[in-house]
Amino acid sequence: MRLAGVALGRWRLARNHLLSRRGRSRGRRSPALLVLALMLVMAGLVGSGLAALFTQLALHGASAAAAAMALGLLLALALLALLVFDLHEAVATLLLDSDLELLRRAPLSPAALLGLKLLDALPRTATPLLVLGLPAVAGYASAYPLPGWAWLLLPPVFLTLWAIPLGLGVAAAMHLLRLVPARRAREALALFSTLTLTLIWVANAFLLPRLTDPAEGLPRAAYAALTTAPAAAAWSPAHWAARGFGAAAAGDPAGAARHLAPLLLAALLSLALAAWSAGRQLEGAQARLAARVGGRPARGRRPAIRRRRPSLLRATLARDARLFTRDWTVLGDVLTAAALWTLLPLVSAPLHHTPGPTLARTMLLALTVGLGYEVAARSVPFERDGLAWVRLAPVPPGRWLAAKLTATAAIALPVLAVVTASLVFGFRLPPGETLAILALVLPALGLSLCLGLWTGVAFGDPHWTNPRATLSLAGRLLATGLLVAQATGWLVLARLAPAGSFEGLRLGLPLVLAAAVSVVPLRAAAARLSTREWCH
Amino acid sequence: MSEPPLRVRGLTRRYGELTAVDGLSLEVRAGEILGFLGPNGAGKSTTLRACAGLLRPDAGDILIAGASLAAAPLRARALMGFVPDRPFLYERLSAREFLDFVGALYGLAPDACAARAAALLARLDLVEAADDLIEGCSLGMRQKVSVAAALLHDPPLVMLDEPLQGLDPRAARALKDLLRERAAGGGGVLVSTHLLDVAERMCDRVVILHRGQKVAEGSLEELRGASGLEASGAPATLEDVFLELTREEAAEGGR
Repeated sequence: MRLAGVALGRWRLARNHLLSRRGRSRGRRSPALLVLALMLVMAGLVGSGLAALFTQLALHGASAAAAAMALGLLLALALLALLVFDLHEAVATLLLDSDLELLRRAPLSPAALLGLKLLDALPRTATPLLVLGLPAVAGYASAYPLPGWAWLLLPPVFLTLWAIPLGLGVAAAMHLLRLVPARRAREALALFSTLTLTLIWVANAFLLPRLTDPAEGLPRAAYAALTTAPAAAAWSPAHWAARGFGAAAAGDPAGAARHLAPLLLAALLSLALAAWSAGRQLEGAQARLAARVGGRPARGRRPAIRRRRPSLLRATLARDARLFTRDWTVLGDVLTAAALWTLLPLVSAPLHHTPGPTLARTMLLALTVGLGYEVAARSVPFERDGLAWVRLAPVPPGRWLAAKLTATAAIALPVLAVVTASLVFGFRLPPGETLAILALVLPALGLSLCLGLWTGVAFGDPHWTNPRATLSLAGRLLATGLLVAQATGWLVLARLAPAGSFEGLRLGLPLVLAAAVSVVPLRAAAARLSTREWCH
Repeated sequence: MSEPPLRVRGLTRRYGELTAVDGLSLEVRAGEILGFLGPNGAGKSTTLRACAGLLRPDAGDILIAGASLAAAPLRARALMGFVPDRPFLYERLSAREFLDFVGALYGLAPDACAARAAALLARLDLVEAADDLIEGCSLGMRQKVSVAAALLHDPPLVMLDEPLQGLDPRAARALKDLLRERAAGGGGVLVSTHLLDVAERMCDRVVILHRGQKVAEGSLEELRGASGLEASGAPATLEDVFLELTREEAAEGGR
């Protein structure tokens, strides 16, 4: 291997990916820079929240060493998130990357191949450190200033913190792929990666404002939990790093070195474990994968259930039900997302003392607009290339959309029913109020499913690898805008028509409104379907 | 006289500056297998996709058994079956479930659909794998599922884009026999392939496409005559004819 040439090639790959250079083939623009910008925004938000948290700890009299335990907890969370990202990237880069065949055919040793792919994985796995680890240290330093020399420790500490889960992730991925097919593992891990980021965001938006509310002060239990060393701290690399920063903040260079030295050792051991696992199992895993692509069919599936009538609607319902229930990553994601959408209004509710019925209505509205994206928009790219049958078969686009809308409603309605029942029970809503809420929520669901179908038809990417990113980036941004617009619109309407009102017009108005507006996305989706081309 | 299974008149399709297919006219007659040949990038797949309704032509008419693809798309689509080079399948359905779904799309009665699917699965040696998820199938098995889906509604026209890729010799023979039987039954078959020896043995006529334009059309004997190889006295294969015709065309283009 000519190292300089290979390094130059990898550098060009990374540069072209980041700068969205376009070749003659008119490929899609890479959103790497936009993703980087979004990550920096998220890092800024998390950093400001954590700075407030450490300021509260300092105000409560926590020493630098005690506050370092909170830092250790945050870094441990970042490492756990990193482990999920690393598992995903290890599967993606070591076993499914498009250049893997080329590299395998080249006269490279397994160690060299592993090294190259780990370098590829570095920028892709850095997200948890960028959006949680680095803001945590910055937040700590804002309350407990670090001397200049301590900042020099930051790059090596973060490099070791990155290497430890990466090594473990690679080793674990090798074993994981003996149990789960690579593509499914990749989709599931991509999903976990995104959910991890979502949880970080929810914690930042929901938990931190409560912990750092100056009026309320830091709860005693939270203070104790954050400043007490957990039992596993002695074995936690995150806590070693945090204690190192704690010692640095206390002006103790020797103490810092004592705490940070084991980190380096752990990183080396972890990378060695990765190299050992890859040396023993990577080639076999890649060969198994290659054999699977061109090899034998899966066995042991249930025979088909016989249907009674040849109806497009029935066939679409059966197909979508099978596709969803057989893809537990997407099904799990829909259910998790449904819970998160429902809980979203709680982020601000206690701060604004919202009445129960209003909160229940807002939670259900958040869920319904969310289901439009979670179920309807994703159900279209979920079909992948199978969607081409809408152009091959003698089915009018309008009929196809009607069947699809019914199929997505069949998935969304049970979720809505369960959540509604929970909220009615939880908030003890009287029947009249429940009816008024449903009169608003059901039309909202109809409209959100129609809008979701349109975004799926217009922006769906049939070659998605992450179940949370089945639309193009432009599609996801537009879908987010539509979600906000819908939620705002329905909330305004709800405010104009107070819950509990039985006036016919107010009950019927959302339905009329939703039906009128739904025509627009449905017509646009039908037009797109009838003009869409399948070039490759 | 009844309409031919496929009639294409003046088909043109552009991708930006590039004219992929340029004023192409061809006809697939009832009871024949028409081979569609051409070098890489000649416009074969574009033509087939346009005839299947997956691409919109910039100019020209496409009639499927007399039904205009532009004016009566639903009727035209009901009269054809298409096997793309990369199959359009649902990975997490089994072959049998997929055929059930396709049958419903074409409005087949359930019993007829089940019987037809069973016959095609047996014919293509897919019975054992019929209830396995397609995601676990090999390339050849996926291709066979795609063929079964295209033939399920028994259309008068079947178009296949590189149908033999990934098939083992037994499966390739089964497919060739199946297509021969369809032609013998009065259907029309349009096959795009790179395998010239297969085209030579299987097709009644061939159309050779080069740079988006038809450079030759006819039976092997007619093409031999058109290429001038007959005069040399040596027995010319389709490969010889193909190379000669595309070479001449390339040379003319270069002049």
